[in-house]
Amino acid sequence: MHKKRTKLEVIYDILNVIKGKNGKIKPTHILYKSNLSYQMMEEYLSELIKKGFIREIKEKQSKSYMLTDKGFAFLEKYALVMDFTTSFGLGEQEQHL
Amino acid sequence: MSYIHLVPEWFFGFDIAMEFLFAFTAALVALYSFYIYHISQQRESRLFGSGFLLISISYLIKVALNMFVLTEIKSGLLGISLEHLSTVGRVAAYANLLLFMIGLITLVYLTFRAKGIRLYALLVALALVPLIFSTDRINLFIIISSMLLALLCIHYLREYDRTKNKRTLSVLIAFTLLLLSNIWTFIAAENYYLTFVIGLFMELAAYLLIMMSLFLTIRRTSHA
Repeated sequence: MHKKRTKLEVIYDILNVIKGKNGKIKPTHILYKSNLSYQMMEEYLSELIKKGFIREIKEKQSKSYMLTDKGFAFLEKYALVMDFTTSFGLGEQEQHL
Repeated sequence: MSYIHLVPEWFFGFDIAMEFLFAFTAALVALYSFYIYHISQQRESRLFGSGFLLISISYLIKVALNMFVLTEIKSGLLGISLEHLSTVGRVAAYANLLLFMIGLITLVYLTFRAKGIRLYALLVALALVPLIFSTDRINLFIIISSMLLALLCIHYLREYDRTKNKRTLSVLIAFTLLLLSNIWTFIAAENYYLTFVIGLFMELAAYLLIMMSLFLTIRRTSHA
């Protein structure tokens, strides 16, 4: 049975998906790879833009998302963040933001 | 009359050193939480850091207050009550209580799923307003802070049940010890030096467990 992810795990999965596409990706690819509903994906993407982990790039007839330095730093230090939040009970289950 | 200082002569100085250690531990947790917030932009880390920062400052105020009391306390005097203190001392004593309370409220607030400044303000008001208007502030502080610590214990029990993480278990035991030391001090009432000292050692054990959990977390990820 699929274990519910924490919010941090979802953020990690999304950023990792973007990194896997050389740091730039279209929303549909995120939807396929991140195992989220469209609404939740939109919510998470808004939050990631707000937190400065990704940047939205508007192209002629589409848009894509790019990983920022902050986003790369999050991926690099993810283990540290997860360990601390798990140890001190700060993890929050995947849910609507 | 409730006493805020009830240390036997043979323990003078040790209580100050211990409370300084509590302040230092809380400050370390706060600092690391803010570092984690810097990386993750996670609201919970920021609140956790803020809560522990307030608790750390409250202990520092208590250290300063106790050092003042140390110079005033005479041999044979059982303890100091709020009425004994000058205005500055009383302000410091109340600041200690309020900051500690708000620190605990901040930690409890972050465990709630519901979010919003109104909820936080309500929690602060519900705890502080009775405290401000009470005639027995010390005992009411102990009761309210015990309730908040109990909520934190329940949160960490649930987290441990969910994650089975040993460091979460350490944190659960730490908060349980803090709760017991609070209740213990309350039960000790006004005349028992030894039980007050025992309560302080329970607090020491709690903060050592928190420090150990923090160091193990940092060490584990630096070796990964």
